[in-house]
Amino acid sequence: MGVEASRAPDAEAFAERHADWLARCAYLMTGDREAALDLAQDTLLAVWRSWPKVAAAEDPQAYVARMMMNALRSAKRRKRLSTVSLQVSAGDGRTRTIDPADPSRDHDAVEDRDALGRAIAALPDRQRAVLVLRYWSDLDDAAIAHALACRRSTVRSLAARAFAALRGQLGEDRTSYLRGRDER
Amino acid sequence: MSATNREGRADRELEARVRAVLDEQAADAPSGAHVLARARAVGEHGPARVVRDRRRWLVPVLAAAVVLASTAIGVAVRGPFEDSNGPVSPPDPTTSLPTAPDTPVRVGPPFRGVLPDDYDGDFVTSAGVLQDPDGTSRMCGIASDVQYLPGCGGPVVEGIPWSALDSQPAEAGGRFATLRFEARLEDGRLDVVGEVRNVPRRTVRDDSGYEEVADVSPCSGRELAAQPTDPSRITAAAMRSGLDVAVGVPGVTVAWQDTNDDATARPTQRPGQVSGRGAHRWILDVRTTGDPDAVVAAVREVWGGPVCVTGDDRLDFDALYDLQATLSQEGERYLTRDLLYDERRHRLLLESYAPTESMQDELNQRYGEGSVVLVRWLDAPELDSPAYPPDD
Repeated sequence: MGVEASRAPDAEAFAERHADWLARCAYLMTGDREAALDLAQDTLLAVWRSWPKVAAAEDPQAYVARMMMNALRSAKRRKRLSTVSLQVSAGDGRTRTIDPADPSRDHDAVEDRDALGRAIAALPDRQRAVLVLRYWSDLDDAAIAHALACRRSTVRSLAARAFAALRGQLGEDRTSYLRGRDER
Repeated sequence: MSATNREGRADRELEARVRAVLDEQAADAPSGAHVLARARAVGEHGPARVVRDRRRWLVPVLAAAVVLASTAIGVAVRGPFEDSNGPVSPPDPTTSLPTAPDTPVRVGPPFRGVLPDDYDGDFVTSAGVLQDPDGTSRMCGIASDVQYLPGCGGPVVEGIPWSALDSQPAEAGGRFATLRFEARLEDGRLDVVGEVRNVPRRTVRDDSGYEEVADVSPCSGRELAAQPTDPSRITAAAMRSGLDVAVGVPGVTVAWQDTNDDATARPTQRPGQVSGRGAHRWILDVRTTGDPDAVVAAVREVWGGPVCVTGDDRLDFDALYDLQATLSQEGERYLTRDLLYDERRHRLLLESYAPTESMQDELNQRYGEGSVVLVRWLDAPELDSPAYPPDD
């Protein structure tokens, strides 16, 4: 049975409603427009194929996020995407590709957000996924745990590790960051 | 402002900055309309129909590519994986390749087995331990020097001599430290039975290795390299098509690309090719619960290079997917730390603090042998050699 045969009107409506979310989430997960298109497409096809299960899920968005995470793993294995290259806005309409292998490069020459963007891109997949799902997609920890097929405590742990890694990459510690603000 | 409050505020400041950066980056993402157009094109004309008629799909897919390109979304059919060797050649169904036995594939991190049911020894571990405001101490699955931990989900740890240890206040109340300790497991609870001391975070086990499964084909590289192939269909695009075709064949549980390092290098690589390894080195690996010959016949229509098909008698993908959700709700039963999908072997890796043979037997009986593999997290010095973690 082809994909088309199982595509219900509700599935179409869901796809249209969440297409932007899928595209953006995939981009934040992969850091690459082409890879994001592939990932979002694969996820959407999986949604159509498994629509009854998606529709019956307690939290369909979390269910789809989990599909995306599995598709991401599959894509990485198939395409050997060993690094994430995230195009970040240079503030003037242009984009440049950042190098996750050396997130501290050009630290002095770029804005704080760019440095943070590079540090996020350099995170392991699951840590970056937690940040994307929690702080961009606003899923709660239970939904993220479903998406990552882990427990909520693992979500919290991954988030904690991600923040520790970001601080390490940015050369910040938790007290020095605020010290400067308080002294102003 | 107290140090704890300052640090909590710093955490929230960083959260806000992360939100802002992600919002900014998301604005550069491709549009949802673009994704929809691609998915609809593939869904209506793509490999899903190959199962019924493996020849017809080439025409609509190529036609869809032309349509997409002419409407300025031609990138839909390109990707970092594609090279410019062009369209897929006419199929050559006459070539066949042998299938291979199901041999073990290495998994990256330390992979420790289950405990005998009569294991009567102690465990040793280095881990983050968080004491809640109510005095309950729990093992964290990770090492953390971040105080903004709302909680840790590991087993309760009894007998931590907190007053004799260095610890830090936790944002949500209580305190935490990274500790090495010996303990005995009783009813899912760890009772400290030996020395407890502070250790550096780096001595704590890191689970990141689980995301990097070794790319090892179940088939012998040299053997495959000697197989007859069609050079005109050994391209990145053909591999991609081959993967899509393979996963559409009934019974296939997983397909992946591998690299045959034994193949003789040819100086034909162009900038942008993956890992600097040309398509002539690639192997298309497939696992199937169905007929291996059917897989080979389907794949050979589009991919001219080596194919390695192995048997798989486990659950199909949807069933395993559902099982992952089911087992994630049974954490206490298996002392679960994490539950991972090992796509390469099409199985679930259930990380348990202390799995036993009977737990594994139960899972085998319930879901079929090999569908769920228990991985032990706590070290058992009487069984493991060398003991982990190392002393700092």
